[in-house]
Amino acid sequence: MTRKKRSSRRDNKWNQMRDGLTNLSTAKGVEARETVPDIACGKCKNFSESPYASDGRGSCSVVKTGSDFTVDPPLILLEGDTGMMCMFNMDAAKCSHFDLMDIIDTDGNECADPQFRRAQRQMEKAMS
Amino acid sequence: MATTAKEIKEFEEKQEWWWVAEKTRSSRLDYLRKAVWKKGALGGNYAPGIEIDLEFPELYTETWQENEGDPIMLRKAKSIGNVLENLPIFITDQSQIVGCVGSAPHNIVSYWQGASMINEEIYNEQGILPQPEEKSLERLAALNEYWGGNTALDELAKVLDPEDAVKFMSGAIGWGTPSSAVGYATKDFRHIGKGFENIIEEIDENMERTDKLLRGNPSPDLLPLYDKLPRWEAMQEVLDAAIEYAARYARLARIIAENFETDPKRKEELLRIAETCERVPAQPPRTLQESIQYDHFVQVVVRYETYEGAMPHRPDYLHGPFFDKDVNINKSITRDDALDLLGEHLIRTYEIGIFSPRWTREGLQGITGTWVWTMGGVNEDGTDACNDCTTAYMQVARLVRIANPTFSFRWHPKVKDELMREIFECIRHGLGYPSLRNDPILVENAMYWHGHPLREARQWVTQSCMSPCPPTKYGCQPFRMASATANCAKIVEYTLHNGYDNVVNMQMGPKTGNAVDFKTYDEFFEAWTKQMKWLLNILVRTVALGRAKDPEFFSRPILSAYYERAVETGTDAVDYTNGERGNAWVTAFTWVENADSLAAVKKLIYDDKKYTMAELIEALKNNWDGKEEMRLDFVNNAPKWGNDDDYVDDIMVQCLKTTAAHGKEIKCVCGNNIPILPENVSGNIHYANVVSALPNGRRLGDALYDGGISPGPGLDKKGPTAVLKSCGKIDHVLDGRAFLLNQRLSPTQLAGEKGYQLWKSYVKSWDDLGMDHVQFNMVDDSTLRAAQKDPEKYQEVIVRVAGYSAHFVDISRKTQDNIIQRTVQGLG
Amino acid sequence: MKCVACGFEGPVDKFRYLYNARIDASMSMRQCPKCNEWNAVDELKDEALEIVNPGDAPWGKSAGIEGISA
Ligand code: SF4
Repeated sequence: MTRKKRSSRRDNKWNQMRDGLTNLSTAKGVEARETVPDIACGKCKNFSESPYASDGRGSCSVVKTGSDFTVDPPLILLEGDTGMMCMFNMDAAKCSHFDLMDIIDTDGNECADPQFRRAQRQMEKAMS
Repeated sequence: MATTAKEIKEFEEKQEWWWVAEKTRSSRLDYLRKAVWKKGALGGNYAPGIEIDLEFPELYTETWQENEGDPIMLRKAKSIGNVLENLPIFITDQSQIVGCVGSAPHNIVSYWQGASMINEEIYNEQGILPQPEEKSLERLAALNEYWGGNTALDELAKVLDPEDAVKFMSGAIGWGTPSSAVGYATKDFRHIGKGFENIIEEIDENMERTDKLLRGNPSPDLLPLYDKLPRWEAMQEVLDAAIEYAARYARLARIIAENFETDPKRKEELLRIAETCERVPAQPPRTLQESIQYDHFVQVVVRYETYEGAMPHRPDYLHGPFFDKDVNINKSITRDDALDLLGEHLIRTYEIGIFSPRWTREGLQGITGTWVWTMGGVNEDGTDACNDCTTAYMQVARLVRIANPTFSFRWHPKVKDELMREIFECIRHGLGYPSLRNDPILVENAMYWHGHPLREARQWVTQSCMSPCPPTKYGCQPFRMASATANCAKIVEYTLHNGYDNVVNMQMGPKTGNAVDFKTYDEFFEAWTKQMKWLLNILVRTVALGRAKDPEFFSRPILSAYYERAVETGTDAVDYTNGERGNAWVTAFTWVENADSLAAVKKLIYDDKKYTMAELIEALKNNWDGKEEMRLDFVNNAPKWGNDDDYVDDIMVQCLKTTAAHGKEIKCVCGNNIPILPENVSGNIHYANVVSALPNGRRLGDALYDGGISPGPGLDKKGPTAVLKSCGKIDHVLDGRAFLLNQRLSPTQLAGEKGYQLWKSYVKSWDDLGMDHVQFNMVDDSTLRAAQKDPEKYQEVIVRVAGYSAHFVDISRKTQDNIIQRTVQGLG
Repeated sequence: MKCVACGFEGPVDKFRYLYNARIDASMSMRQCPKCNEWNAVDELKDEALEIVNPGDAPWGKSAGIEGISA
C-alpha cells in the first residue's frame, strides 16, 4: 500500500513549477540549443518571458501548470492559478492555443518586456 | 596643437566639461582613459567587442573536477589558485597599476559554479562570444553541461520552499540571487592591510594551536575543529595564489623593462611596477603607489572568487596617509604624479567587467557594478576625516570623467568650505556625483537599526549604492544584504487585484479580498499592510536560507581570508554564526508609487466618491485604454508626493512607519532588524513592463519613479523647497535605513559663485530637515536631446541615474527619456 | 488609429504601448505592428500625430525651468 503523503505542500503545483524552473533548460549540445522551431512558445502571444532570467524561460497565460505536450494526445489544462512554465524555444506544434505575435522585439538594448521582447541570440537569428 | 587657455575657457563657458577634461589632463591619463574598454551594458546589451572570458571558467572547472573529494572551500581555493597562477596577464602601455579581472582587456567574466540559468543566459546572449562563434558555442555547451543542475543556485532551489522558490524566481516581486554567486561584501581593510604573508602566519598559528588541541583530551568540543583545518588551508591557498599572481606581474614588468622597453622613463616605471608587485599584497604598503596597487589587487583577486557587484570602500581614508607622506611630507612624488596614480586607480576599477544577468544589467545600465566609493566623513573619535587625498580624488574625477566608480560623500558640519567647493565643481561638471550623505544622521541610524557601537558606526562605508555598513571585524557584511530587493509597487497592485499578478499570470500575494468590497480607506490600507508584510517576508526568508546555505553550496575562501573573524574562527566569512552583528536591509524599489496610488484611491474613490472601485479596477486591467480622461483625473486631481501636501505626505509617512514596524518584527540570520531602504538604481525601467497599471496614472510600460523618495518625474510642481519639505516629514532615523532623493538642477542657474552659494544654502536646508541623501543631475535638456540624436558626439556626457552615474549614451532610450522627464528645479 | 509612417490602420490597442511622454499629459508612444515605427499618440483622441525619432520631444520641454538665468 502506498503511504499517504502528509505534507501536501511538498507534492503540489508549486513543486511541479519549481521542478519546471530548475529543469527547464534540458537541451544538450549545440544543435538542440540553437534550434527555434517554427511554432515555438517564444513566438506566441500567450508567452510571458520571465524578467528574472534571460535564458528564455517564461510562463503561459492560457495553458496552466500540469499540462504536458510530451504525451499523446497532449494534456492541456486551462484551469488553475499558475501558468505553465515554458522556454522561448519550446516546440509548441502540439499546442492548440498557439497565437503568433504581431511584433517580436529582439532588441536587447531595451529593457524587460515580458510580452513582446525576446532578446536571445537564437531568437534574433530566427526573426532576421 | 596644444590647446590654449582661451580655448579651455570657451569650453568652460559652453559647459562642455568633457572637452575641458580632455584638454587639461595629463597625457598619461588621456591615453589610459581612452584605452580602457567600456564594459557596462548599453541598455541591456554589451558593447561591440566585449567578450565573455572562457579561459577563466575552463581553468577553474578543470581543477574543480580534479578535486572532487575535497571539502568545498578547499576545492574552490585550489580552483581559484589554478586561475590566478595560469590565466594570461597583461600590462597596458603607460599604466602604473596592474591587475585585471579576465585574461584580456576586453573580457568580462562569469562564475559557472553560481547559477545554471546564468550559464544558459550567457550561451544565449547576443554578441559576446569570442570568434569563431561555433567553437565558443561548443566550449560553452561543455561548461554548461558539466555544471547544469549542480550550481549553488540549483542546490538552493532544491531546499527552498517550492512556492517561495517559484514566486521569488518569477522576477515580478524582487530581484537578487540568494547566493554569494551574485552579491557583494564589505572588506575588513584594517585586517587585510596587515599583508597577506602576515595573515598566512596568523592562520599557521591557529592551525598549530588547533592541531595541539586535537591531539589532547577527547571532548565533543573538539569535533568542529576538524572542519576548520581544511578551511584554514583553503584561505592560505588563495592568499599564496594572490601573492603569486602579483609576482607574475612583477616578472612580466621586469621582462618588458629588461628586454623590450627602449624608453628609459618607461623602463623605470616598469621596474617600479615590478618592485611594487614584489612588495604587495605580500607585505603592507609603504608608498601611495604600493597602497593603491595593494587595494587594486584585493579588489581584483576577490573577483576571481565571485561576482562582487559593489565596492564598499573608503579610499581617501585608506590612501590619505600615504598621499600626505609622499606628496606633502617627503615630497617623493609631485601632486601631478599622485593625481596620475589616483586617476589610474579610477580607470583600472572602471575596467573591471563581470557578466551580469540581464535583470542586473537592466537595473544597472551603463555600469558593471555599483562601485560607489565612500569619501569624507569622520574618524572613530568624531574628528573630520577629510584629507588632501579626498580633495585630490574630487579633482581627478573631473579629469578622467568615468561613470564608475562614483563617490558618496559623507557630509558633516565640520567639512571645510574648500572641499565643499571641490564637491560642487564635480556636480557642476555634470558627473552626477558625489552624492551627499548626512553623516550624523546615518551614524545615528546605524546605531538605531543595527546596534553598531558609536566608534564602529562612525567608520561606515556605503555597502552598495546607499546602505551604510561599518567595515569592522563584526560589522562587515559578507553577503549581498542578507535580505532582499523588493519591487514595492506590487504591494498596491496586489491590494487592488486580490494578490493576483496579471503580468506573470500567478496568484502571487495573499488573497486579501476583492478591493470592491472594501468599504473604507482603512480597510484598503489594512489589505495593503498584509501585502507589504507578505512581500517582505517571502523575500527575506528566501534570501536568509540562501545565506545560511551559502558556505555549503558556494563558499568564499578569499573573502574568509579577508575577514578577521573568519581567520580567527576557521569559518567561512558568510557563516552567520561567527560573530557578525547583522546589517541587513530590504531595498525598496518602486516605493513612491504606493503613496501616490493610495492617495489617489483615498481621494477619488473614498473621499470624493468620483469613481467606484470597480470602475478603477476595470480601467487598470485594461491598462487605462479608452479611459484617458479618467487617467488624467487620477494624475492631476489627486495629491502627489513632493509638493508639501499633507494629504499624500501623511500617507507616505504612514506607509513607512507601518513598514518600519514590520522591520522590527522580522529578523535577519544574525537576529538583527531589517529596515527598508527606498531606492531604485535603474530598476524603475527594468520593472516598467512588469508592474501593471496603477492608480497614480501610470500604464504598464511607463517608467516607474526614479528615486527612493523622489517625486514622480514632472509631478513635483511646487519647487525644490516643497520637495525638501515633503521629504523632511520622514524620520530619517526611525522610518528606514536610507532614502534616495534625485534632484535635477539647472547648470545655467548654478553657474559661477552665485550658483555655489545657492547650492550651499540648499544643502543647509537639506541638513536642517534631517535628510540623509541627495544627489544632483546638472545637465540641461538640450544637451541630453542632442546626445540622443547624435550619440557619437556626446559620448562623454554623464548623468546620475539613481544611486550611480552612467554615460548618457549607454542607457536605454526609455531610461534617457525618464531622466529628461525629471523636473529641473530652480533654486533660491 | 492610423500609423503616420506606413498607413497601417487598426484599433489603438493593436499598437504596442511603449511608454508615456509625461505622466500628466495625454501623449504616449506606441509602436506600429506593421512597420515598427514609433508613433506619438494622443490618447484622448486615439490619434497618431507624428513619428518619434531619437532626440525628438513631441511633448515639449521638461516641467522645469531650464534655460532661466538667475
Ligand atoms: S504555444 Fe501554447 S503553451 Fe506556448 S505560450 Fe502559446 S499558448 Fe502557451
